Amino acid sequence: MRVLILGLCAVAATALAQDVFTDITAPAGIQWKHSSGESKDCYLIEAMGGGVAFLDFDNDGLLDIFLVTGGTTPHASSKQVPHNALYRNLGNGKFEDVTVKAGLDRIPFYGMGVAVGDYDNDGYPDLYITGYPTSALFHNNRDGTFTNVTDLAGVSNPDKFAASAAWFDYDRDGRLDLFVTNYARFSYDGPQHCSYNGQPTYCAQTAYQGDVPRLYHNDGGGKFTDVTTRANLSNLKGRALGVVAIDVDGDGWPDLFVARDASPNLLLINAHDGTFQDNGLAAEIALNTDGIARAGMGADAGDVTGNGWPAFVITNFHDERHALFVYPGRFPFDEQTVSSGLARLTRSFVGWGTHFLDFDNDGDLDLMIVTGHLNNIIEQTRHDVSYREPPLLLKNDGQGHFQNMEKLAGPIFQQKFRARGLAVGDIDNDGRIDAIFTRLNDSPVLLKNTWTQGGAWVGFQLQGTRSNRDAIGAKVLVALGERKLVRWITGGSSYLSSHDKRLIFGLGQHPPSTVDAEIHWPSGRIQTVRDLPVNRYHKVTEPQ
Amino acid sequence: MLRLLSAFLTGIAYLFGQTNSTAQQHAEKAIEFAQHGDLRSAEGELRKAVEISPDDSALLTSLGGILGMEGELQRANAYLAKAVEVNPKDGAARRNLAANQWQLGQFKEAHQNLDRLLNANPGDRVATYLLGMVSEREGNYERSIALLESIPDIGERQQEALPVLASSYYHTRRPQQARAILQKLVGRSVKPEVLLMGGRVAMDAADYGIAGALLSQIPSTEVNRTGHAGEETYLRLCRILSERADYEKALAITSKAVHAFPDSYEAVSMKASIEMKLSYFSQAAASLQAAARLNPSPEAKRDLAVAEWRAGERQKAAEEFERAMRQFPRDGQIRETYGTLLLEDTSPEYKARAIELLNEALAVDDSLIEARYQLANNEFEEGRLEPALGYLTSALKLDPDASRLHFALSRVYRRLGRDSDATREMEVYQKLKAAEQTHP
Repeated sequence: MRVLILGLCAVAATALAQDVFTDITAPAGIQWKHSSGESKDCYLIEAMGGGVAFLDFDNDGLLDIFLVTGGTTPHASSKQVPHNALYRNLGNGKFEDVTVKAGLDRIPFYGMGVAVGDYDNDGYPDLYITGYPTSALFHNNRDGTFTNVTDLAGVSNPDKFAASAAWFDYDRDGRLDLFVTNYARFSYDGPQHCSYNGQPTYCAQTAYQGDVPRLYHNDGGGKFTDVTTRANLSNLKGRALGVVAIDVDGDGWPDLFVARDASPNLLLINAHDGTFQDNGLAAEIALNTDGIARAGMGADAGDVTGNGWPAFVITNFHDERHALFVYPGRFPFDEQTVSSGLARLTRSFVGWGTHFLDFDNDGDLDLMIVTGHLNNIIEQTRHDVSYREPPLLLKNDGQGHFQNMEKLAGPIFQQKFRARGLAVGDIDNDGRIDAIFTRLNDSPVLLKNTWTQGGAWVGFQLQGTRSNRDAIGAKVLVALGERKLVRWITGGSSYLSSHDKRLIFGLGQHPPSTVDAEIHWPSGRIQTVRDLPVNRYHKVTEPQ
Repeated sequence: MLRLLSAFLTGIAYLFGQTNSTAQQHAEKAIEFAQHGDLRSAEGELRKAVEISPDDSALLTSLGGILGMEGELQRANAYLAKAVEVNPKDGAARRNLAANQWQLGQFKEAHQNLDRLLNANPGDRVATYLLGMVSEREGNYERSIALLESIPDIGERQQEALPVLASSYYHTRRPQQARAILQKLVGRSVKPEVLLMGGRVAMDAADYGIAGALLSQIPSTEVNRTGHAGEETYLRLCRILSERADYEKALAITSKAVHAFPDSYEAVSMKASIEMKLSYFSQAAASLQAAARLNPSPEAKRDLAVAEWRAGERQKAAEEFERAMRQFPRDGQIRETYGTLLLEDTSPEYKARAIELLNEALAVDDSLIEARYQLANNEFEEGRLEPALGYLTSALKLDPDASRLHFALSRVYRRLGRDSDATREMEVYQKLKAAEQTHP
């Protein structure tokens, strides 16, 4: 009996000491550092950070990592030559730098974000890298190398300071189209000078005019057409940074949510005729409750209340409250920023990348946000805000109420960074969602989910046939007792970043041995798959 | 000053040779006193001399000169006027008389005397200078420009002339020339009074860039020499720069004003308000501590608590609010502000207290808009749309042009199913918002 009690104590102690996430950056062999081109000119672009993507570029069943460097600026203090990084997952906890071999190390512009999508439906993921003053499309050659096909494809997005981008099939023709957020009118000529407390600093975003986004229609054959005007998007000038492509209103057509910085957010409802209508204001997702545009940076969508509809999280500046908008099945949205606890938990932080993830597989979508201020002397003027800030892991109680997991999340969540991009994915195929975030002028942080008390799970890798092969836009429902879990394969989301396109459903501590799933393919087809064993991935191909 | 005085008295000393010997003795003593800086005794001796020889223009001119140097311009002019009456050709007396009249704002009289001097001697540079200055005050800007520009190196000899010349250029719609003239004062060793004058001229012409440059140039240690006029000018410029959202410049100017006038509540609170606009909350809290000491008013206490709250010192701020509420129990705004901040915090434990404070605020002061707005938002969040509507409607009666009230109202109407009302309110919001952005 005495031994048993001791044993229980030991178990309890182990449980208490356990972390959700473990930083494996160094052991994984990731040494690359982002390079912002920081200079005395304080160009706004230097402060915006770089994106990151999880993708399986060689189709070996293991998620690899692609990281976008910034670039140089005319008077950059660092002489380091910036380069991107492609790390191949070796499957043993190690990653190998294959950037040069892949032909992705250098890009002829300042790199910002990345969007991964198989635009030619050949089964291999391609890369769209955003930046200034152009962006680029890299086609996956299926042999571990990529070819820059930007000019051939016609997607260079010239003379723009692009940020996030999203692949999605807006006209449901089975080919992925491309939406690119363009942040602001920007130039290296005549840098704008601003000071804070007497010291030079980055000018506020309002010193720069916003720009219009771009929509490229995939014509097939590796060619795209700029349909921005035709799609009714050319008058939407504003400082756009984040984008999520998802069917908001459940009509089967993908819509777009665009987070904008000190410009009203956009909710672009797909009109089914190749055009979009901005419904942000009437849907009450464009502004805060005072009618003021916040500093929208990153965004994601997911069902956080269990009502079967997407809710949106939008990261903003400190004091503005990172926002949570729940869609109740009809417009307007119900802003639950305060009641969810998000306002209180995030008020001191400048948020960037964000993503819903069920870190403990209990069936509820939790939330990760990475943060970091732009102003390196902010602490001179207030005591509750800092330049470097901690990432946040917020646990959802299932009703859309969040609590901070800082004590259990892992040591990284008690440290402070200048974080920007964030991507999530399962790098070791164990059904526990992992994450990676980028840091300004620093190495990324790769976080392995090591939470052993999580629930069971079931995963899906969807392959479209009539739909786009990545199945971006698909909705999957899994019945779990009385509950119906809903997940979407979204385009875009977070900030500058791209995620594992597989879906993982947490099934909690008392799962059935098998589950049924209902798949709503982007083509409109609805497929039911039954008796799927749990704790494994299922590859489902859209019926022809 | 002393050297000038000695030169002046020595210059006319030869004239004393023609006066009564007793008067002459007094005059000589006066010179001695003046050389030692004892103007008061010099004045006494000259008075005695004038009593003995009341029609001696040299003695009258000297006494007028001494009084002028003592700042007694009005009294000085009585003697100087008599001197020119006795001897209309006494150029020194007439020049001094005109200079004093200019300073006293007696432009017409000064003008007449200066005209006579220039008629008698068109090359009289002092008279030319003075008439240039007087003409500007009279509104005869073209003549002022002609006269002042006719004096070579006027800026080198009389820095005071430059702001006046600039003023004339501004008034004749030649801002570039005006700016070029004032630019001559930038980066040079210039008397604070002249810089102040230049700053005011530029401000009057809404040329705030050069105004700021001139006022910034006054060393902090010298700003207090500019006295009330300086304080008023600095604060005025701060207000203007602040309205133009040029907060960093405004802060630089107001910092000088506070350094020079540390006991000026207006200066200190102005600095705090700019620091708040710049979100320099810790600094604002320090400024408001000083402001509240200078003027322990409800506003000062409230602003201090807000700054502390924004600086992240919430406990301190809460204590400040509680103290202020005890001290000013009839002040609704303190309660309104405190309640608003507690609601903004969004911590559930503060909510009840926040609502209580906002209701108390309205009970004390029925004209508060923010309290109504916050209570409306609370009702809205709780799903109680009719009470929310009531608060917003009453708030709009008090401030029909508040865009956010219309925005909030549209949200309430939308949920009440009153779609056309919602659309109308949203349109009003958009119009008001657009106007705010055009004229922030």
